[in-house]
Amino acid sequence: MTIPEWIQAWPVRPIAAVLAVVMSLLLATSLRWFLRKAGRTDWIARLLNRSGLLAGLAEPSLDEVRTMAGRVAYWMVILAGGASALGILNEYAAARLMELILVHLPMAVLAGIILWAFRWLAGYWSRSTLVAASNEGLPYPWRWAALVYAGTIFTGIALVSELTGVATSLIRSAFLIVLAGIVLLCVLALTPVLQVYLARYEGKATQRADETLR
Amino acid sequence: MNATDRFDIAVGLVLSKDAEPPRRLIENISTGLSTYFSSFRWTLIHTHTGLSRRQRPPELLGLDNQIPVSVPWAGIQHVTFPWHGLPAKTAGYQAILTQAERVGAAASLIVDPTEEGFEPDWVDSLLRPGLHSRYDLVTPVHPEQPDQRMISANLISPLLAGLFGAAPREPMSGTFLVSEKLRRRLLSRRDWESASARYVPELWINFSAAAEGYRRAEAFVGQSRSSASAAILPPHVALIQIIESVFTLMEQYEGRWRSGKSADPLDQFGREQRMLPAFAGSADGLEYLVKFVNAYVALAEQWRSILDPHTFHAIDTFHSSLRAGDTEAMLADKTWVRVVYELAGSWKCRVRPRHQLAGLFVPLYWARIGSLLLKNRWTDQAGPTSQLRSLGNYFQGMRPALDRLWAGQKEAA
Repeated sequence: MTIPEWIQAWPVRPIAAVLAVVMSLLLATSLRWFLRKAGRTDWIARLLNRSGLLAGLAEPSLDEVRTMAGRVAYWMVILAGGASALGILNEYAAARLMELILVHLPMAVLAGIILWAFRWLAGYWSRSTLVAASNEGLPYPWRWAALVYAGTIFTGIALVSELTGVATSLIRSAFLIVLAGIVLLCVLALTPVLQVYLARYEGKATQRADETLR
Repeated sequence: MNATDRFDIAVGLVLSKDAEPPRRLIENISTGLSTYFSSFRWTLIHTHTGLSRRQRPPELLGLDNQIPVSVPWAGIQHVTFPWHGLPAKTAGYQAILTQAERVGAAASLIVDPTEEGFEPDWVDSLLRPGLHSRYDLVTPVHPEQPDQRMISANLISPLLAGLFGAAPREPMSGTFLVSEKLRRRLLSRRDWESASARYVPELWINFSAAAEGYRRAEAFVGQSRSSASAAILPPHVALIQIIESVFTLMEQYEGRWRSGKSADPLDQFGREQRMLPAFAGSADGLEYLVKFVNAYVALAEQWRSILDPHTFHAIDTFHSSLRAGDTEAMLADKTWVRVVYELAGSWKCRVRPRHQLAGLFVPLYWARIGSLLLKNRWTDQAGPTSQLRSLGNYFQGMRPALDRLWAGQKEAA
């Protein structure tokens, strides 16, 4: 089957590009609608609650997660539609765009996920540290918690830097210096605490021995 | 002793491998049994935890009616340490009940080996309800002192009363009696290795008996001089183990206590003995309050995020009173009950990771007992005792709030 002459006479490439954008817009809108509706099930809510993933958000809300997932899917499809349109118009631009979408975008998404995960871990560990340090009677529990928070976030940044190759040597050096500093601080801080604990347990053991002898 | 010998009464002791045999205690048990139950045949089952499988358990005092049992530490007992300081204590109880089943005992009396106050008449008080009135679980009640058994009196016992309508005053006592029926039920269970059973085995038995509708009684005995609680773990770690165990048991048995059916009333045997007025040391109370005040600086925002605004406001007001030097300030019963119920609800709904919730509970408990000790330091025991009994009523009265919080609903003010 041959393409009719009257169609060949039209500016085919721009029209096809516009059509690609319109189609992607339709697809993106329906996908966003589906994700928002599909998320309204009890088992997803239960799974997210039990996994503790929602605890990483400032205001734990399943609606936020659904909205976020819908937005991400929406913009991914729009970008893909835009890339298709560009590909139809210009091969060079399309190649650059494909590189961006296939190489840089996944890397950026992965970096974002790692940073988000480390932010969640930092919140979890720092809160646990705060509670434990307070119950143990350690001085300045807030500072211990802040140290854990900053250390975890910085570890995430260092990992992302290694992965993406952005300012690798600078961040690696800074990370090693900070790590050494933290180890030194911990040793200095924990020495008197350990001494107190050892003395306390030794005292109790002596007391028990005395009681046994009596 | 022959393997086929049968006995009416089994007396059990869980000893650690390094423990000296409690001679006086065994003599008192023996005297009590020969005085009050001379027509019954009895055996002493003593388990020794921590021995290797090749080591033979020692014989005690040359008794001819004894069954020594060796209880080696299982894998997890090498890495976790219970608050009471005796790893494999639960396995020791299990071994005692297994041996009691083997010899066909009608009642198993388990005695805390560190109980130096045990007198021969305790045998009568504890055994008689089980042997003659067919109660399944009998726990002792000692004359109360304001500074003793704070966790049972302020938390565990009133909480059980809130859940089941009636609760023993000392659900974590290491001395108790188990009937044949309850023994068989316990031995058929598969959760002897669960954390709640390993950490607080007595509470695990008491909670199960209440939830499953066994007949329970308590017997008044003399003053306790047990050193079982002198464990080497810091108090907050012990408290975390206990609170995690009780909340886990609440979750395990939620179908039972939420059904609204109350357990059978808890009958009491004997006559309550009164102590001479005993004064709690005020220094302890102050120490607990200082711990709370220090923790408030770090944890106030955490409490605010998980507690009802009214409950947090009451804690905030209490803290302000303390900061202003008012050591007569009291963390009111109502506030305390709300704290416990709201934390239980948060635990169930996993508002925060569970170990964090248990940790957040600790300073609030210090606030409660610190204020109680300090306020009652110059009163005789009648005041605090009646006050603690009314706490059980508060837990029962506010039970609808627990039901709502447990179901994940926000509590209406």
